[in-house]
Amino acid sequence: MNILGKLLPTTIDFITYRSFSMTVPLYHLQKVSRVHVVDNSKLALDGNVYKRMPRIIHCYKKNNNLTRTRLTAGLGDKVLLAIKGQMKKAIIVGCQQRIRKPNVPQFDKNNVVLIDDDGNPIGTRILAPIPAFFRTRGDLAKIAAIATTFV
Amino acid sequence: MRLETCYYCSSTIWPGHGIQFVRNDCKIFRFCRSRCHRAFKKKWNPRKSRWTKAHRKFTGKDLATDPTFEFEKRRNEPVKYNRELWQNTLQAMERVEEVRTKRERHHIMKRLRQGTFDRKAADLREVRDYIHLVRAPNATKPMEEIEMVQKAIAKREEAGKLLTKVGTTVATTKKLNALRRRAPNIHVIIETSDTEQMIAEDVE
Repeated sequence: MNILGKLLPTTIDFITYRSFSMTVPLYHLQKVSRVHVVDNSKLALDGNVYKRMPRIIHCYKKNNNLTRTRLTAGLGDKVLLAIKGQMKKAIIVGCQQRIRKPNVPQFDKNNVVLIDDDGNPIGTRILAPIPAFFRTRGDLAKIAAIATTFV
Repeated sequence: MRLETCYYCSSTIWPGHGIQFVRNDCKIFRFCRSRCHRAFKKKWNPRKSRWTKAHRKFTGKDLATDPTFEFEKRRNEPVKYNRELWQNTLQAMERVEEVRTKRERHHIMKRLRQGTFDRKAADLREVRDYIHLVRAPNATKPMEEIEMVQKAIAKREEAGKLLTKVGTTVATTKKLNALRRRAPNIHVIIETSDTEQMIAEDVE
């Protein structure tokens, strides 16, 4: 394109070349996604009003295929957040993305619950509604235990 | 399995249909189809969308307040299973639905029946306002006028019969036919309809 521009400057001027690919927007949660913590732990309460919203900096998602993971996270996945200048693990508890599975709702905000390295939630209560399948999944049982409402 | 109602249009949401949206204040919005979901996202008020049940109840087109609606309210207290209670409830549900649909239909018919009266009144008004297109408004004795015209026609008919008896020519039959052709126009008015009688009464 540059060569063409050099050869015929007058004709190429008004033709604009756009060469970016358009993929369907994914609406997953991924790195740098801003997130809303729905705990009642101190870090959560401070983190939500901090100058920067809590952000995902890493997604712990195992990919069974040999291809590289896309590092996106969805409902029930563990992520690493940057809250108030600290790094903390969390589990995604609500997605704005419309998940096309039966009885899985879409949420108002991308909700997240803070956990420590063992997988125990830091707070004692979860203020937002939690999807009902958290009750059936074993690894999310601890979060389901402190939840108040299920959807 | 539970049949929910759409937040926007109030129709039933069958399993496998629609979208559920949860707000962080724990309020759940269920939509039966994307039309309702999109309307909600656009922040349209369901009371203003004419096709929703909320609008129809708000503007009084459908039955809004009735004791039969109390049966369908959601109660958040769990009830211990009791076979008899279940059976009675099912029967009660059928009966309540019967009564409710009857009342809803009655409400609509009552509303629509008013229209027939309005239309009749409008028709009368129209006749009163536009009768001058049919006959002279200052004609003080319409019935006499009508009688005069009837007599004139009778005379013509008699004249016509006489002519036929003697032996008519083509010219006279043509005249007769022309007269007869003019006659039907007047015939129609003589058959007094309800409106004419009312006007005659009105004038007298």
